[in-house]
Amino acid sequence: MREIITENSTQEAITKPALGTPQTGLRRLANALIPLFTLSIAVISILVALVAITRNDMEGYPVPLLVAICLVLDFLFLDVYRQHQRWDFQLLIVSGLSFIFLLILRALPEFVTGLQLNAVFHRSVFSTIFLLAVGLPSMVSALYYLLNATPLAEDISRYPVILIPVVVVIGLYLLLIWQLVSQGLKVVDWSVLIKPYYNIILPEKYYIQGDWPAWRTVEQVSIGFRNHILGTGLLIILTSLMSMPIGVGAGLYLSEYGDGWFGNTLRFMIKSLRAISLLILGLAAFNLANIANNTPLEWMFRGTWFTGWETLSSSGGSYLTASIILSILIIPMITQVTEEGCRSLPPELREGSLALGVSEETTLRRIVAPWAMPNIITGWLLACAEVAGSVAVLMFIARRGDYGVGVFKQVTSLAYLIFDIYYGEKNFKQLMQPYQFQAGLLLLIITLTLGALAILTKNWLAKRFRGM
Amino acid sequence: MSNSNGRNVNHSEPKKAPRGVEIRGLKVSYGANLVLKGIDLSIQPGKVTALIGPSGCGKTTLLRCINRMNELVRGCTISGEVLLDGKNVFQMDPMVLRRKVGMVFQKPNPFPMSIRDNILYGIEAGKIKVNKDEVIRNSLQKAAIWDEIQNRLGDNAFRLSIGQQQRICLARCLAISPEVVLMDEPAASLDPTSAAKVEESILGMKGDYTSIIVTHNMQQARRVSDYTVFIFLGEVVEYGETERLFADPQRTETKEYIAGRFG
Repeated sequence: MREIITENSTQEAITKPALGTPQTGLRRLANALIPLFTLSIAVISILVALVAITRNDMEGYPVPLLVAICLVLDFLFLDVYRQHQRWDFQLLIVSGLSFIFLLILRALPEFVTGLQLNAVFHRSVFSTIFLLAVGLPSMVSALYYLLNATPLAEDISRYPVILIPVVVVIGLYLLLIWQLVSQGLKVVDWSVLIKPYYNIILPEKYYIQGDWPAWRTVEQVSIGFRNHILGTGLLIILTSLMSMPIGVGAGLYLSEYGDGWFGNTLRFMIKSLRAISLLILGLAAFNLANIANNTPLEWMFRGTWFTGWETLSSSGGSYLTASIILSILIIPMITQVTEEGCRSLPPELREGSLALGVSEETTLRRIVAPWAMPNIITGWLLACAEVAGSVAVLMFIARRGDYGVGVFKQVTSLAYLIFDIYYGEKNFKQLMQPYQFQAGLLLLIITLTLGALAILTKNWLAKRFRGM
Repeated sequence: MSNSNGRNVNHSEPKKAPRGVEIRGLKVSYGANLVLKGIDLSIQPGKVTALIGPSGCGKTTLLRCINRMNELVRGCTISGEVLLDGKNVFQMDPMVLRRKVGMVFQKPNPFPMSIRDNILYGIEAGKIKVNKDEVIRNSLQKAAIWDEIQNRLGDNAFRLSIGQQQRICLARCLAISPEVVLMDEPAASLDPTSAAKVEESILGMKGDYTSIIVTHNMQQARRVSDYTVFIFLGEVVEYGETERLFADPQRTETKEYIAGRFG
């Protein structure tokens, strides 16, 4: 008996409505009707807005949606007063706004030019902005009133607004990767990965019925990007060898002794070096390749090849030239991460080492440098990804690299290949076109692997060198 | 070599006798801010001396002058003399000096390496030839932590508790067999049990080392020290045997500080 009573009382406490009037299922549904309707229109208009920015043929949608939002928000305004006894003027403002947007949209010509610029864009761009501007607040309000306008509902109703940019970014990213993967995996011929590209005309001996030999020319074609893959690897190795000692050294110097005017100047210069346009580095590379023309050092900076009886010079540059200029791009990155790593060392550790009668140099070697190691390695891997992906630096000196890969050979890389397929020679373009997505996919895999390695090694090295 | 401190030598091991520290007219300023206004002190060899005083009175600055760690602070100017074994420390090689004058900091600062490497760090860097296992064992025993960690010397010292870390730091300092040990509030950030163990090892160091300890804890100063210096506003107000100073302070400032009226 007693147990039943307690059970009843708890049941009552839980189901008791807040304002005394018991709400049946039907009534609750009726109350939710207008917020639900508003919510669906708002969501539709946001989706339409996101699609409309990419297409010009969505003209029919924005206007009726703006009308619907304008009207349904007025109804929601009245419904809120009926349910919660308060006037929510925000709803009226959004409603009025959508009416104004509607008028603007009708008044706009189909193509908009402005500020005496030649740029022309379609009015659907405006409709996207307008739909988002009214769709988002109406979605938030609709969700809020759908969830009975509690403080918790206020939080929940704002989640989608925070989520939308994230979803858009992830969606675009996945779209990009999906396109590359789906196109790249349409296997035309996997042997392109191990074959070099060449298209040369060679003389060939031939005989007619045991007669004297005669000569004819035969075109030999091989399609593949082995040299581009190996070239990317060689660029990464050479650039790392050149930039790591200098970058790490400069970073250590700046963190240890870089507080004076000289250090500050150096830091400023390194920061400005990071902001330099890559195309300017490309021009520098072109200059470097030309600087040794007609000197004994020409073979080092020009890509050369040996045809069997003479050494020819290419019109471009060598891997050495490319990696010298790429080092200019990488050294500031390495310097900065090294300095950050060293400066993140707790000062007590340095003091502790010095207080044991240990010299500054040994402290640098045994305490400071290991501490900065996770930063340095991570920075290095990201720098490698940068090297693998940079086209602008190589644009003026890279060629097709038909004649092999080596420090003094003609430079080429996977990233340059993709550029070359579009803007290169017609013949080359026709032969390589089917493989462009494979090359892109390969480059994506290389850079993403380097990025993932950077994240993983950072954690692992932090454990190893910082005991975390 | 044998100026007035021939006692307390442990003849079982070839150990150097502890040295006294003589401070004469020491003035230290950071920029325009004069922190120590002429300190004259004679620290007794082989004893524990406590430096007490309110925050910002210059205790730590005084301590860090003895092994010249203050020179690493920017804008710090020092005048006066600190004599260790009759030699002015400001004319010595700081690295040689710091091997003779060890230091334990307020915040435990073990290096991110194994416990073993932590203890051997100073020895290896100074290229001192010793029996390494014996040094590890002795110094960890002196720091009252050997029993807890003798089976996991390969563990990273960063993953020990704060109290254990501080005792590792003490052991690391003792491993290079200094003559003077400076301690800057060694037990301030520790739990009571660890603090008690640190105090225990300070008491165990008496006779072998000249210890100088900065502390805010009156009870601790009373428990561990033989002599106490009360510093106020950069000047030595009172210096004497701990028992006498706490039982019968001569100056009013000392009396009030010990009673907890200020600081």
